[in-house]
Amino acid sequence: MSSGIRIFDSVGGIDYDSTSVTWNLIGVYTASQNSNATFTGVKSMTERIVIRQMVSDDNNTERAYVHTYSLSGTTLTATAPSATQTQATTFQVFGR
Amino acid sequence: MAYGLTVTNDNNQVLIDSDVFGYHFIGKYAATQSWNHTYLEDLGGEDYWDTPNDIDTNQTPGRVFEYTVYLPSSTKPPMCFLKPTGTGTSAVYTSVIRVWKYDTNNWKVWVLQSSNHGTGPTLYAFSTMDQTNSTSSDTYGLQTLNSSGEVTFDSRYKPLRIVGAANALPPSNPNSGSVGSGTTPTLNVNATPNTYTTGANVTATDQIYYCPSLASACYEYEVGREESGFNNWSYYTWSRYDIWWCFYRSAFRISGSNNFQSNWAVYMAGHIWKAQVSGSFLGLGYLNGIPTVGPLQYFPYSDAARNQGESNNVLISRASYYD
Repeated sequence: MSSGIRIFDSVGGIDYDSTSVTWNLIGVYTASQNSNATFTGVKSMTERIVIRQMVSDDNNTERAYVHTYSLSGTTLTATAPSATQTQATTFQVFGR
Repeated sequence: MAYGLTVTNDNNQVLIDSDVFGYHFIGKYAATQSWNHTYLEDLGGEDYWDTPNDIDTNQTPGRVFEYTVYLPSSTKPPMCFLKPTGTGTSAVYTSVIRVWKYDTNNWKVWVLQSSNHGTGPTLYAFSTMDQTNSTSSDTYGLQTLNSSGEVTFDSRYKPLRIVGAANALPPSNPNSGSVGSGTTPTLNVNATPNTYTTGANVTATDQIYYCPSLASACYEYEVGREESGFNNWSYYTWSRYDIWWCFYRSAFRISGSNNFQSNWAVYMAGHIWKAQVSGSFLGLGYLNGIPTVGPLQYFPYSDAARNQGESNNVLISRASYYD
């Protein structure tokens, strides 16, 4: 590489290399089942993406709806499509 | 920032920022158990037709693999990348379909694979430094802390390195066209996968991906049969009603060095039937008295899909970074 950052371990192996772009975790937010939620203070970065993971210890909720969302400025808004069949959803917001 | 460290590239993309938590490798996991999910039930009645009484070859369920990820006292779920058993346009589809906190120290993860082979994918788990117990004795590297003194980046714990990304959506339906004829259902997935460019451009077999499954679908095929006639000087009516169904989840595969495909996989297949003699034709009305739809019943909902319009982002990394 001609520019960037490489971080080596004590035996010369590469632990991190900026030629592979990474996404940093801005925050993890969990919307409860069947409820809308608003999360504020979400850090702004040049680029952000959101990955959703439905989280439940009830194996009969695999049929459930996932929260929809919008991310605008520093606010993440989660909306439950159903008041009775929306599963708890974890939002992982990444930025770079 | 008033203090701390930010590393950016030429595109002003942040590579390291001491204010936010980076993900770090916590381990590689093999499945602890697996199963093939089918449901068969004879709901009774005197059979005039005694077949079919099985899961049809046209409703083939995949295999569910369970993993246990050790992450003591954590509150955030681990980020679980999958290294599938194969890649390419004929490879099986896999996806994380369920994650939950199992006990104080462990998370459970279920992964669906579209074939019933006993060998499942390998799980590469990542977490943030505030969720892990730091144990490295290596004194080399780079560590950043946020204003609260929490470690946000530590090169000794193999930070997550992303080589590709996409935004994936499954096809609108897992099965198009006829869902059956006579006593033969045709419920296997026949959708054409959606293909996405990831920008990874590395050997497909070295790629691991993170894309939790959001979408589900359930489709059924029903058929009723009726026969009547005299037997031992008495007139009889025989009838039998069958319902076959498949419950699907969205699933994915690495289809090439720079491509990712999204499709469906059969999570569960079922078949129930009921017969009757000397009564009126059973029909769906009779089965309406049987709780075929709902939690803990035969199938979760009927002839519909959920979350199929909700795309999810895909992140691609390389297994060789962590092996």
